[in-house]
Amino acid sequence: MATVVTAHADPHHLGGLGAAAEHAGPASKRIVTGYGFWIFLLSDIVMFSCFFASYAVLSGQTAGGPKASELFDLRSVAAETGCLLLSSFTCGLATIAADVREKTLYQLAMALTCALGLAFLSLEAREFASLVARGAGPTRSAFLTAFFSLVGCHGLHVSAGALWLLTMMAQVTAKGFRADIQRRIMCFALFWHALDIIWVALFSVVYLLGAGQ
Amino acid sequence: MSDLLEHHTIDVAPGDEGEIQVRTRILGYVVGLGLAIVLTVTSFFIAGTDLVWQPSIPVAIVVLAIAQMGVHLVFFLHITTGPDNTNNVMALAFGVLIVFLVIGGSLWIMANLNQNMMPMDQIMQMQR
Amino acid sequence: MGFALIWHIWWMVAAGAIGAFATFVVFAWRDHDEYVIPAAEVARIDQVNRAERRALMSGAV
Repeated sequence: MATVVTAHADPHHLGGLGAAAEHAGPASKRIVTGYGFWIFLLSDIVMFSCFFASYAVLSGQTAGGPKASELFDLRSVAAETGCLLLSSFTCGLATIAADVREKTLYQLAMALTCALGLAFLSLEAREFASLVARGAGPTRSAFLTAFFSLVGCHGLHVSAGALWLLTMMAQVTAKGFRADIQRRIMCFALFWHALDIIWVALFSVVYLLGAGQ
Repeated sequence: MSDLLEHHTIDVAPGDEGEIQVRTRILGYVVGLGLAIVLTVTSFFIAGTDLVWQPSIPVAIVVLAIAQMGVHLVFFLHITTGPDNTNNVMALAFGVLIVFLVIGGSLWIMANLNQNMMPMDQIMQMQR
Repeated sequence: MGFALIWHIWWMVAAGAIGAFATFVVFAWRDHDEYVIPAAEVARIDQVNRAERRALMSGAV
């Protein structure tokens, strides 16, 4: 067991990871950046949970208007889910390519991720437009307001993510795989995967449970 | 430079994995994708089918969703239970706690209000 | 941009969004985004600071 280096390293003599005594000083930038962004993502998920809570409370308040089971087209939802899931996969491939510094593979994987993300957004935009055209817009009932807010918030996140994605593609083209750009790619990947996780909860609770009402 | 290759760090950034072999890492993502596709298809199937006991459908969908979120966390985000991932897991656990409190608390409170208060249109009529 | 969204000033929303993204890109394109202050320099500044404060305190009393 490594001896304690300074008096302050282990004031309660807990022992713990022996390597902790040898690894003095702050953690590496990659770890600090990643952990910080992870905490931000969790706060973002808490914000989404507020939208989820509103939706859950208001899902029955249709004000005499159309219900979930009358409005949702599950084939479109399935296509959207497929797009987002595959885009998460290609994003993972992009991070691997970035780690081994394969520029072409990285750009290809990111381009695929972008295409799939934009496909998801266009399907969702079409769905929103058709709902509004059928008189089931966000002002029709509390249920629809909550629906548009929740799904719309997720869509806005995906849109911002797509912009960020294009920026990361441009960054690698301009500056290569610098250490800080690698960190940003890691943060982007965390963001994109988290969006897919939120979509899993979304399509299960909103669309699948709603369609069965 | 490439702190990804540091084997001696006691922590790992979320999203980083200890594995370096490209083939193994790609395989991890492929397995994750496969599992997620299976769970998604099952979810959609259960939502639309008459083959199962109807009251169990919401529970099944929620369970499948939680399972798929777990698959995403492990295979795509590499959140594991190893000692180098403890910080990431603890942060995630706290986030999940807050999410449960917000959603569960909101549902509980609103259900209570709905049960114990007069309907809103009657209350508003009393105020006229 | 938040103000513009509340008051439905759509041109301002667009301007705000573009400005925010432009700032994001400008900061992302920086080559030198930090500088190091050596520990010795920090110590020196601190010593000067403390000496001046000591002088002030003893002077005032």
